[in-house]
Amino acid sequence: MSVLDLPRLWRPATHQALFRRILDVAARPGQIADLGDLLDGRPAALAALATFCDNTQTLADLTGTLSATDFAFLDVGKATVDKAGFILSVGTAAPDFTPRLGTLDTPEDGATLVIMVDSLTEGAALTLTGPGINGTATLAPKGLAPDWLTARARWCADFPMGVDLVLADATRLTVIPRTTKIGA
Amino acid sequence: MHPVDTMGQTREGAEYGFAFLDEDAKRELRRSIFKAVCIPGHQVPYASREMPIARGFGTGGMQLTLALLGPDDACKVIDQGADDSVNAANIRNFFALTCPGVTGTLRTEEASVIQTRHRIPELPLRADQILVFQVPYPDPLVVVEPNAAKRRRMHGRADYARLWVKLYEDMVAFDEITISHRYPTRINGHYIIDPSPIPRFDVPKLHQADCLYLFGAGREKRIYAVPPHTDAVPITFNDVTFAVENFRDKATGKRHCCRRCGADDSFLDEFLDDDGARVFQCSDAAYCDMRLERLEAAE
Amino acid sequence: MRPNREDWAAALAAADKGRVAALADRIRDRAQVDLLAPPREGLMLMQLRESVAGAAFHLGEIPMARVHLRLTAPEGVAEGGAALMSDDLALVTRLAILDAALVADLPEAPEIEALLAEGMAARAETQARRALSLDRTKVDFQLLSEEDE
Repeated sequence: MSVLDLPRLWRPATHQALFRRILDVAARPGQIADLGDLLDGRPAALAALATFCDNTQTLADLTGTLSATDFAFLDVGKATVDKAGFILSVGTAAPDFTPRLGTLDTPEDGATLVIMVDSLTEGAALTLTGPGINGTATLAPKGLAPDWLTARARWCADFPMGVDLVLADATRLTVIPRTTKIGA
Repeated sequence: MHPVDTMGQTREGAEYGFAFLDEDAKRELRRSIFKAVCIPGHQVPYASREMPIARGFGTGGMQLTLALLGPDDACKVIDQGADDSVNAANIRNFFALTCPGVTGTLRTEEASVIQTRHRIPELPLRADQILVFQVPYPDPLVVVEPNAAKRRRMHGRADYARLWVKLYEDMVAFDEITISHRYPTRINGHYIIDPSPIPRFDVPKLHQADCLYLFGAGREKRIYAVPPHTDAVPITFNDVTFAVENFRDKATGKRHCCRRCGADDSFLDEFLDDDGARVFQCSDAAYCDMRLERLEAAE
Repeated sequence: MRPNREDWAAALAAADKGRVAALADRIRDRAQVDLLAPPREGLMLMQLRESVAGAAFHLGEIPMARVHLRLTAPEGVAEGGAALMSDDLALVTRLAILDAALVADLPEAPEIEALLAEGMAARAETQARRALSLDRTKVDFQLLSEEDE
């Protein structure tokens, strides 16, 4: 806008560009979106939250990395991990909670988990199948505790209920919707 | 084009008016689109906003498109396959007015976002294209269950017994399933969607496509999606095959061709010409024009 | 004399737009302004209470813009904000800057106060005019029961 300049991450134009890239990979699990040119050095996980959060949403930050300013700009309510619509966590910390899974009637209430990992390409390869994938896809996240996959399988066992994951390293992210089957 | 306030004065801070909707509305749409893609076929509720056209004229599709568009996009709008109908032309003009930078295009292959009413373009869409449907009635169960809460419960449990009974009654009464458009289609083995009033001819294009399909029902306030490479199967019985319009001449048994471009593989509109003769023409105007251009170039 | 702080934004919005903009931009250019929350502009539901049973109801959607910022000038630091029934985010941002400048008592304060006075006068005039035209539509009902008494 003309009177004051917002930092790039909080500009509407940035949110539009972020959303298109996130949507692109959400529709094609296994593909990775590079957000580097939109971030100005901020983490990709924060960019995912900036795209979706506002004062109608709730967030549980399990990492403690979000500053007061980040929270103010996200303009998002804080909630406990079992009630939050969005959860920010790190991949190395195994989950010890049950997020919102939605109900059969309202599966869209299942939480969106944004998990920060070391890298999306340098770990052991996982094989993905499901909607959005032509045959199979692979994803090799590094710094994602195996317990996450066990927990996610449990959370997503009763489709359409479940959670949707956003895995993010420093500048890139990928989406694993609840429909994706993960094999070793 | 900058947004203009009611006093007729151009305001500053014009980029906040990009894509007409306010940022909160777009963010809510984006959240709903995201969940719709993650739960293929599920009708995600959203707060359908007032648009400058009446509900029922494509406000659901417009809101989706506005939540998607960025200044680099090329946008195409079609109505029953045609770019030049009043509805399509005005929606395209609206996007040009409210989304500075977005180019309007008539060519399917040039568009990054295509908004459509009742057709899927003939040219197969690519992975970098999104097709946005204007949906009048999002719920295929509405013919068998009037109560919205009960329908939601049936969807969640994939309980479509009554829809099957409806199809069976069709078979008993007419020896065929009489649904010509809005054919109930099962997505990824769970939800059954109303694919909007596209003809049967277009239903197979939903199956294992390269592009993303998004559906917006403005009046009914629902968004749903068919992601790429997802099973989309029109529901039918084991011994009754799903058949699409074949445009075969009853007398000769030969398929009708487009009178303009000669296409024998497209969905055809049938009408009477000035002499009262029955003629057929591609419903997808861009496809027809493209074929004509190629034919002319080849000559 | 300054009116209450909650009336500043409304008063300044009624003052001359060009001078408000010029003054706010002058302060912005010589101070540091940090947004503390994303400027928001959009529709919100307006909730009112009806006068009989006191039940809450939604009158409808209204355009709303709000800005929250911190102004750091050599003479002082202050947080400022403005929320207005408007879709003009540029205006609301400028009102927030003036709000902070007045709280921080910057040297420009007298100029802001002058604009405030001008805006208050303009508002008072508008309100008086409205009250007058409303007054003409007032009807006195005489109840039948009153005649008996």
